[in-house]
Amino acid sequence: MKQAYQCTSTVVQLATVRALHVNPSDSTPIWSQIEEGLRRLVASGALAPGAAVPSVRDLARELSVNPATVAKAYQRLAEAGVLSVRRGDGTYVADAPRAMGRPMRQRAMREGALRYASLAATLGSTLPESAQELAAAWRRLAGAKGDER
Amino acid sequence: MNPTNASVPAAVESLTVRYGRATACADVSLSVARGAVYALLGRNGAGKSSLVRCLLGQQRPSSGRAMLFGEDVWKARARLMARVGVVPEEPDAPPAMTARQIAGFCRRLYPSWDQAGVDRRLERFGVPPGVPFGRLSKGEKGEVVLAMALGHAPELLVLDDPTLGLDAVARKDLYEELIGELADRGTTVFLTTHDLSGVEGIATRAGILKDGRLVLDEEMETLKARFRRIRYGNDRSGERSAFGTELDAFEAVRVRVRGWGIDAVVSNFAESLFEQFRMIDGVVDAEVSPMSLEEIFLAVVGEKREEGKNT
Amino acid sequence: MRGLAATARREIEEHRIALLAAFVAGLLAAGAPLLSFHGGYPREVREAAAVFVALAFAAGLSISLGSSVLSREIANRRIGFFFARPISSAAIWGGKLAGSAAVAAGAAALVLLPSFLINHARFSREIGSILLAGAALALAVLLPIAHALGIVFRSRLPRLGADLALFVLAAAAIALTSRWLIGETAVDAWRRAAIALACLLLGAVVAAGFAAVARGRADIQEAHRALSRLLWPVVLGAAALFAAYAKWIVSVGPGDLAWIWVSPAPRGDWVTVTGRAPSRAGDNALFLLETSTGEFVKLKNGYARPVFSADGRAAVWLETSSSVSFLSLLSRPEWMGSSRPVRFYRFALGERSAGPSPTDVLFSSPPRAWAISSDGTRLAAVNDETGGASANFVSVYELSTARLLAAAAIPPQVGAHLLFLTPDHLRIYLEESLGRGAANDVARQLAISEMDVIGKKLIETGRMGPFAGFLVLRTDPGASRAIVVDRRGRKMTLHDGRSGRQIALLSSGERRSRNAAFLGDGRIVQVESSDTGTRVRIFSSDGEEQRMIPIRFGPGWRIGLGGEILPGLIVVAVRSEKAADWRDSECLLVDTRTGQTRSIGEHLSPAVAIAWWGRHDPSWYPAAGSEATRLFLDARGSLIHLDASTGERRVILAGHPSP
Repeated sequence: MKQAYQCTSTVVQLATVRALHVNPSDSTPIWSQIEEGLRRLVASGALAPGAAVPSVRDLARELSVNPATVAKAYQRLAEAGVLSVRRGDGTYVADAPRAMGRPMRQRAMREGALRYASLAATLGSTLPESAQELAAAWRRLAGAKGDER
Repeated sequence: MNPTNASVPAAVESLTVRYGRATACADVSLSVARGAVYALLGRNGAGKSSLVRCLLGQQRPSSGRAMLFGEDVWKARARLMARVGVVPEEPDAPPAMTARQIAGFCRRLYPSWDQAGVDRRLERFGVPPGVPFGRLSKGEKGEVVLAMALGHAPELLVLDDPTLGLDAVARKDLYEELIGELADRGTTVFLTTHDLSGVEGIATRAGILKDGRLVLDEEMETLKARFRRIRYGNDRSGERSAFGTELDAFEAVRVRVRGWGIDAVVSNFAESLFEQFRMIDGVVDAEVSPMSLEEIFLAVVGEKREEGKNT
Repeated sequence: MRGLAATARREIEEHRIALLAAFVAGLLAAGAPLLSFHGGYPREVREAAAVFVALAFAAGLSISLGSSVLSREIANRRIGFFFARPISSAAIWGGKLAGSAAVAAGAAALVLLPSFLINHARFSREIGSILLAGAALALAVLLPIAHALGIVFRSRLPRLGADLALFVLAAAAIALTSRWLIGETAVDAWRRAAIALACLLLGAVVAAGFAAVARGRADIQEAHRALSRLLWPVVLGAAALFAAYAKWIVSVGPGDLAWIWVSPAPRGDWVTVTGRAPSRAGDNALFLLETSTGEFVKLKNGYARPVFSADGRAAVWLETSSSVSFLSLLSRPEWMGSSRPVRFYRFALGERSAGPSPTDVLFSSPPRAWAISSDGTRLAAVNDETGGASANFVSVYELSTARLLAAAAIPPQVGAHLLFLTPDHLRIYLEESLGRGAANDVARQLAISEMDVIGKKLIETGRMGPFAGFLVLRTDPGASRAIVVDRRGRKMTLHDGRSGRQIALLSSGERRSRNAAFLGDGRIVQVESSDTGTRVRIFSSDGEEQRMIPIRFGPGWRIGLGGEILPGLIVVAVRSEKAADWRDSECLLVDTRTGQTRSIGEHLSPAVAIAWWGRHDPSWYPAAGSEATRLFLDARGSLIHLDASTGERRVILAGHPSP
């Protein structure tokens, strides 16, 4: 008989991050998938600012991945200001997205846009179609965030 | 002992193991970095168990050597085993010993033994401590062995096919314990396995033994990055089925010609190369998809068939 | 150490059942007097039962545990449990063997415990020593051997065949070498070498078992290989060393002997030499030595010493004719009892190239007395062919053909003396007991008879006695005269050799030494010492005293009779009773005609004086002027040729101080 030892808050956290779909077989590195997934959850409001995220240990066990991978994703997100690490306390979603200098934000946005544009072009999409999709995605995120509130 | 090698938890150098005329391992060299999780893959009889036995100092290689923490393990086995936890393929504790007695036996041998931790683990697994080992189920046996292996907080864990014969729940439990250990102590892990999907997320480096030779020894990330499956049609020759040299840049490992086109596993994928590929005359409907560790393994150790190649 | 203790403890726990069974068996053994007839000795029966069962447990467990410990786990691939832990190979091997030994010893102790307590906590010493010896044997010998065999058999390697072949080879080599050594009666040497060999072999088995575990580790086949690689070179090397040692022992020569005893032939240069060889494990060795050239032949020691024919051309002796049984090795071969089959051997001293050769004359036990004719062709023996205590037959054989020429039944006797007057006529003196008591000192008389070999007739010719006890008999070469020394009766008498009629009383009274012999011209020389002094007396052949030559005055002297160096000139050896060594005498040349004496050497003794102590035919006395009369042993044990007339002195065998 296994003992259920997880405490309630962790259950809530893990339920939330189950929305993170990590596929080890995917060509993207796992840490990158975790990073992207967490970003999405924060952006959609599923993870509210100030909410606790599972510990590296717990998330790694849940996803069945190497803790170093999770640690790397958390580190990158912490450096990017999405997460904040409180020593001895755990890891939390940052209260507010860190104010990034405009040049840096522009560069990050440019990189993301280039990726999106390459994807669309290789699929044979057109600019209007791409822009349409982009706007729809933005709305979906905002809507989700609105639902949360 | 080379001081810089002391930081390498496990390594084999030009290891060759022969049984009479048969060769189990031929000139294998690999090294497991500190904190890494190294998964050694191979078909049955490929030489994995022989390598593990040499690595644990239980068998003398015919030539070459096995090193733990920079020392030859054949010579210094007893001392080195204090820093290693071993989970063998077959649980080999004496059948008459109960889990409690096994823990009592081990406790005297390791200065760093954490009996409370072992007790907690056994309780968590639900293993009865007073039942003789021989009467436990396969899963319970494995759990006891794992608990004993972790009981002295080893720097290196060596597991030989730890999920053999375990059901899905027991497998998950094992991986969770392993991951917990990795998270808490940063233990180095060397394991051999047939459960490729299970270790895919956990392993940091993989090696593939084929007929005693190490044909692949690479970080998981780069492995994933360069292996792809490409499906396309070749319009050039009028039959969609034949293929020529268009795949050469990708260093195809296995190519299958099907009715609808060509199904190729390539080992040197890059986005730029793929762009060029799509623009080759005759290549149509090109699709690329990532490969799981299992698929990569099958491609590497399976037979190459190059049917219908136009040279 | 920690690993060894933990492993040993685990091994003991594993076999708890055996200890329980032992205790139960011990309770049953303690109740043995109830179950069987104890004849009034319940404690002894209980003790014996307990010890027997205890030894059975010790031996049985040594074998069963020994053959499975380690080898079964290695073969079943369960040994990895230990090798994956920080326990050294030595601790694994040592701990498991120690644990097994502890179980075997503990089981034996548990069997004994109930009986010990019921018997008021006392065990008899003999039983205790049997127990200790048996238990030590089981643990120290059976356990390592069973362990090695377990590894060898569980590996299922075809190499097993080679192991078996090597074992047979080594065993055969050791057995043959042992047979050789013991056949040469070097039993002390064999015993020493056997103990060393046993220790070495046992050590090799133990070490090989360890090597198997240390080098084979988790692989049973590699363990077997490692065991063989260590064991066989050592075993074969030990066997070779043993053989070399045997060769060295057997190649002893007369020059290696200390404490030499010599018996010369009545004519010619040959002597029998025997002594102990301290450098060759101290065993006795026996040789025939030609004193002029130093050439020698080694004989097998153990039975009556060789007898030379009167013409000095042949030597005849006895050897056992069957192979020595192993059990008889526990005692010295000389005491192997009178029930061994023996064969006569002959050496024609003139034809040295032929060497000693066996004759076909066999007896089922050594004859009580035997003699050979003066030309060495015939043998007479008094023997018992029916297995009784006293001999029943006198037989005459042709030595070369082993043909029985004549035989006659004789009455029971306590002693016999034989001598060939001619090859066809045998004089027989039989000592017949006159009372009850120990055979060597009962009152007796001598019955004289003669056997005609051609006519195959035995006739009684006379009788001598009665005498009070043990007799010494001396005759002249034709046995016309006989001197009898009756120690108990304290007299020396002269008789007619054929009829036994007493002719004269040569001496009577208490004597320290007393001996006599017939000189070449028929006169009698007698030496004796008493409280009044030491003297030589000369008698005519009819017993008339012709001369009395005093040698020493007062008590405390002993005198020995040497040979006749020149007709009428004899050597006597005088020594103080307090002399440490019987060879340390002063030799005097005595002229029997003039009575003059002259010292010819100190710290010497003539070989003839010493040789009296062997058994000879009654007429044995070296011919005047023969080489035998010129041989002396000095106090250091050297054999010397000393010519009293010319003063020439030559060392034949350099002596070794006796140990």
